[in-house]
Amino acid sequence: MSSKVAHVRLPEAEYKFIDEAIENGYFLSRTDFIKSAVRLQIHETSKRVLADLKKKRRKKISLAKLLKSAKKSRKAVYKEIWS
Amino acid sequence: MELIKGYLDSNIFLIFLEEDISNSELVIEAANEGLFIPVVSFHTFKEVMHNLKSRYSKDTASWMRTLIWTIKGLHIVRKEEIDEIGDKYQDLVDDKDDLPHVNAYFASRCNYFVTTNRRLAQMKIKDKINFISPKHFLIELNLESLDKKDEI
Repeated sequence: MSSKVAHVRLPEAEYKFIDEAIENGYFLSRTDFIKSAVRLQIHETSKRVLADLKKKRRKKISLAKLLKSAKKSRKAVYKEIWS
Repeated sequence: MELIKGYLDSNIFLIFLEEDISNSELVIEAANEGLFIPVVSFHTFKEVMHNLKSRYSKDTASWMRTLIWTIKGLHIVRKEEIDEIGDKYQDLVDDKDDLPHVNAYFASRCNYFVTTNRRLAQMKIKDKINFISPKHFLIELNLESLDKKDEI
């Protein structure tokens, strides 16, 4: 996966906090801390978007129908990849 | 202490989206809190995308894909790893389309195969794989679970 560099200006206190978290062994480096924070925000944002979708949804399908449709997807993906 | 490795079946993510709250959702949260090592395969992504594109939209499928690949410490089993195991377990599964997931479980040396699919857990392969429902997986992790029908 390709990557890009992002320059971020942080307040002194946050920078200090990151260094302390590293010193205490919670993160390997500043890069590790920032990458982890970005991943978490992306995850939380996608969770919020999907939660909004759940709220707006009018009707749910039964578990039996859901499993049936999951099986259909499994068959289709298998066919696409392995046949 | 070594963390438990749990292979998450595609239906865990589909139920997470379908139910307002579910044990499947709590399993995903537990993974994100680093309470076990979550494992999926490239098949999982493809199946979830295929399913959500057909029932919802491309956008919804993309958000779900993003949610999955940003789960903390996620291990994704690649096609080459599935290929390496080949047909070794073919006779133990009823449907050959379940085989890539069975192989991914073994390739990543998982402790549990978390699924809501009871049919899968009744095949001959059950003697070699620890199939577990989301509810019982939470119990295994010493976490609170919900009393939901079919332990989803």
